[in-house]
Amino acid sequence: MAHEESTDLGGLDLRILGRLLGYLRPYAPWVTLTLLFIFVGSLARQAGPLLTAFAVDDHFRPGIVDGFGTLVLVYLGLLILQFALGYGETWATNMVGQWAMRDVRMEMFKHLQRLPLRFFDRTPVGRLMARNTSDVDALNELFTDGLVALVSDVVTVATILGMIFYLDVRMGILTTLCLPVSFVATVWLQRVTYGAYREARTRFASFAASLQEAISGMEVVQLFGSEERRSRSFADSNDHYLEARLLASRYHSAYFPSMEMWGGLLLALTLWYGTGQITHEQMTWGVLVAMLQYVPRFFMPLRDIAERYATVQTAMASSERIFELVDTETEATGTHRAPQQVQGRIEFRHVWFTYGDDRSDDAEWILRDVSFTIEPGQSLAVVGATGAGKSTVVSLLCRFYEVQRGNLLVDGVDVKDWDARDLRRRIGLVQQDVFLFAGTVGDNISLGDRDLSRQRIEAAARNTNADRFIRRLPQTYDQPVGERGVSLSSGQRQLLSFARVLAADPEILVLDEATANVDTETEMWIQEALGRLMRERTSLVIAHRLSTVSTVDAILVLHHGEVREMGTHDELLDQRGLYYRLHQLQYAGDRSA
Amino acid sequence: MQANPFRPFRSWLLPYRREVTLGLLLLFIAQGIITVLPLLLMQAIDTATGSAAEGDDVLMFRLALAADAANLIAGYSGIIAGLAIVGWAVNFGMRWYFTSVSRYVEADIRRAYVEHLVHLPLRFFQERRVGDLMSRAINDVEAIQRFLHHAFRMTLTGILTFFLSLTLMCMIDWKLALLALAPMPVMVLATNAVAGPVRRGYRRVQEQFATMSSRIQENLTGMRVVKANALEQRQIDGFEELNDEYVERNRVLVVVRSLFYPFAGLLSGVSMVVLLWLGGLRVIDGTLSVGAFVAFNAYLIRMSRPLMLLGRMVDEFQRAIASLSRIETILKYPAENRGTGTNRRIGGEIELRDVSFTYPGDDTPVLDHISITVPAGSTLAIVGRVGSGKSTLARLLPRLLEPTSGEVLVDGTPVDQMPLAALRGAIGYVPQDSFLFSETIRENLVIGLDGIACATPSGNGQAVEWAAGISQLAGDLDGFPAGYETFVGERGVTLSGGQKQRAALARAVIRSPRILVLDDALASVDTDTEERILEGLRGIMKSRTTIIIAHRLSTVRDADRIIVLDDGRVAESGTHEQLVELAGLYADMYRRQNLARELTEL
Repeated sequence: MAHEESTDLGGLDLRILGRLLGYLRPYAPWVTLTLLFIFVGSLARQAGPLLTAFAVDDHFRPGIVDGFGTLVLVYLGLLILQFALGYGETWATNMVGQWAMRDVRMEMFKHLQRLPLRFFDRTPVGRLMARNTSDVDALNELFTDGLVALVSDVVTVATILGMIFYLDVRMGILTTLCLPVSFVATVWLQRVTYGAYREARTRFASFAASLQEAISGMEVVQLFGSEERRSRSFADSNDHYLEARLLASRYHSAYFPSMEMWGGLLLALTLWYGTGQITHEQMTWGVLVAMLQYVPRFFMPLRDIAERYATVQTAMASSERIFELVDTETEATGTHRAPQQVQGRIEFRHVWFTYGDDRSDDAEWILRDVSFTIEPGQSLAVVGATGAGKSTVVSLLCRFYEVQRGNLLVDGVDVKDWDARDLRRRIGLVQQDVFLFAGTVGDNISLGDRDLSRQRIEAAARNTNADRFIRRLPQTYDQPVGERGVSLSSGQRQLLSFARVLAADPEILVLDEATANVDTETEMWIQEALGRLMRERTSLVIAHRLSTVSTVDAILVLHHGEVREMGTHDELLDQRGLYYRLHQLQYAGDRSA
Repeated sequence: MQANPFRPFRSWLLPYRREVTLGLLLLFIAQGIITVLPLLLMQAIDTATGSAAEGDDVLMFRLALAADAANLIAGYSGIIAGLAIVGWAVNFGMRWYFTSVSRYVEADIRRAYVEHLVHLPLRFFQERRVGDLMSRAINDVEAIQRFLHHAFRMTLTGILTFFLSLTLMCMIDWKLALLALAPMPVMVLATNAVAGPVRRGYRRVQEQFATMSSRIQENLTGMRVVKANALEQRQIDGFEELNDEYVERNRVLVVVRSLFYPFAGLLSGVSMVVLLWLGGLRVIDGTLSVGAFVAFNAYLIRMSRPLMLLGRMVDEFQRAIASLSRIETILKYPAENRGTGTNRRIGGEIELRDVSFTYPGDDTPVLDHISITVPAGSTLAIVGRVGSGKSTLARLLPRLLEPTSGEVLVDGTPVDQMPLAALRGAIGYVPQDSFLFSETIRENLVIGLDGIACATPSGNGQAVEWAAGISQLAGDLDGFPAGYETFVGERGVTLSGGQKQRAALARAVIRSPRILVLDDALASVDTDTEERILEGLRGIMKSRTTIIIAHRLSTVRDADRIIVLDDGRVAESGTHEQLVELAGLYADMYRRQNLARELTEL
């Protein structure tokens, strides 16, 4: 929390607040209007007692009916004005809040799309979801229940004070004297409860964290008979939380009625002073009656200010978290735009890569000095045991991660210099687990590309044998899939993802072959479709099952991150080296499977 | 509202009936003070103006302590000031009682919830998401607390204020009261009329919010695909549509909802106009005193608030009821069967008699009529493909799962007929995913001594070191700055998979169990370390029944008996040598693993 240049105002970071207000800038006219509504509305609301004063002095006391009707009509008019302004204020406040939150959400979502995969590797989805939901909500609250209400309260206090001053200067001074009193009380409350609240929050967070852990690890808890000990320790932390809460509650219980007490005391004083003044003809009855109405109204907003302040404080933490996310450095990208025709030549030049820190001495290199070239239209299969670094080759080509040493070139241009999205558009990637988006089968083939005609979608599905199962679905291409739709088998998903690639028609095909077993018929369709996909495309196949390798131009054997063998299937078998053994292993595995 | 809205909360409030009673008492007193204030004002004003009009006699307040008006007014002012101070004390006490009771009940519910949770069968946790259980413990309990603290008090205060004000207004001038209150029914009707659309609008907003959230979730989980296909812009466009629709639905809601408070204000304002107009005329013609007018005004203002809040209170009440019932659903879930019979020493003979197991909602059995006997002190190894039912079988033993049919017996007694604590106390179980708590390593190991009657605290230190030694964890701990006191998890050291597994092993070994179950517990440990662990365990395993589930056949080759599970059935059974000779599934696996080992050694 401690930024060097931040100005801390009792837990209020003005720098953050300033940045938050920046989100309101596009709606400045509305905000201005809201403020205007608040000002005028407050005046209209506080005019009531004043009118009562006129009624008492000009009509009640002297007993004059003339003109009283007009007064009542003015009162009614003010009421309608209040209604209109109140509606406008509530509407505008809520809408500005909604608009600003929409912008925050949008900014966050856009920013998330630009973050490198490394970020998602280390950040749990749940945490990012909380940014998008509860933290944004807290911001909304900060604006509507916090800032606007705060302004409204302050304006109300000022208006009432103004009215009292207008009616009687000495009463005005007296009332003003109550401000420091209530200010001191509020600051006191802040001071004593701030610590207690923070303590309560910390205790609660640790309670929640350990409960969450115990639920996830319930098997261990029960296996080892730790039920009693765990629930005792929960009871303890529960009690700790209760204690901290009760401490804060005690102060609150004392603070809130204290405002009413000040109101009561001021009321008594007003009554005593007022009647005295009236006796000496220094004040009229109407003024006293108005005053007696203003005094109780004065302390309500004062009391609420403490609460608004707490709301603002809590929301600060949320905004800080949101800003932290939005400030995360985005993925680096080059500027090389794809020409009309991409050749599809892939070259790895002495590539080294680690997921860890490349500068540390004991860096675990996943790829070591890997070099190979795939000419346009050619195909290469990468094989190797688990952990050899096969999938990493794909990730690097797609530029999910940056090569740490050496170069990776596509069409002679380093992938670092390519516009990342342009490059990826030229690569059709088929992953092991095919990710399905919520939507229809058709949407999942077109991936939401609206320029893609239905004919092309269906043609892509036909050419990849995917339409064989799609046609059998109740709603064919309009069949919803994903979480709420039908579930597809892994073979069907595989075919669907082939159709996806064909529909996008990229120059380079990268296939991370599925390891899951599919039935023989589907396997046949897959192989046939694959043949069509690889035709005319530069293809890089990560072969887990070695069944695909017969169709490729060359095979590369990776072992512990190094290129150990390279050649055609027959050449490599003849070498009787790693490939030969892998092949044997595969054969043995097939039998037991 | 129901006849007695607090009925569902009664059992939780019962322990605090003294506090609740005192709180209610103070609430009545506070209301009394508030109600009397306008009367005092009225008396004071009328005394000063000397305009006591008819009808004031109903109020018995007459201060005869001084003859002249000035002193009388000073007296009234003094009483008001005194009441303000007394009022503060009363209000403080009242708030304190209500808040603390709500906090106590919150703590009680949470305690009961957690205590019940740890005693629920594992099946329960497999059916539910952690997030849902957490949300009950946090959000639902909070909703109840808020209700008891706030809505409970506000509702009572509101009802009292309403009726007291009404009574006093009628006492001052009942005709005027009825006329001034004429707009109030409109308010109640309007509140009800708006409630429907607001609720519908709110639901539509919630639905859109859920859609939007799941879209974000999808985007985040599928980020690799999004990037691979350069779908960023399309995702942004898609999200923008949802986001805009969310704002649009909110707008519809805001249009209606924003009406509420201003409209309520307008109606109570109309009451004021009626009072000003009709009451004013009465003051002018002398049938109503200025003081009475002021008092009337004060009561009228006070009445509008409870009516405005009524809708919100009903809402909060309903939410609290829903939350309570969500919690009670869990509390009513039957706790795990703790078993029967008396404690006795467990020898360690295990028998599965025609055991089948099918997961609820599944058709194909995971275990299909399995019968095995493991003599006490012997070692049984279970191998087989992923999903062949190995872990399920192991979990039947400590009754983490109950067989669908058939029986599991230990020492000839069905496991559900012996005390669960005794059964589990005799088993050292190392689960597949070695779950460790975010505590120190020592605390994590000592968990193994939970539920063991004879565990002595003095022996703990040695036991911990002994267990860490056997599981080859001790060496790693020397490398940690805080040794055994090192924190595991985010707050401390992130252990490697192998270290976690060894810690889980130590946790099981420390209880010196009669039965040791290793469910693929050494998968993340390298072969050399595994060799050393097995060497260390051999001494322990000699006298104990051991069940080892493993993928690596090197782990199991010394077992007294190995069974190969395939599709829930025992496909092969025998010693390592017998199975290799059989040239079946086991022999295949063995050959493949040898090849794989050779490969990695190249």
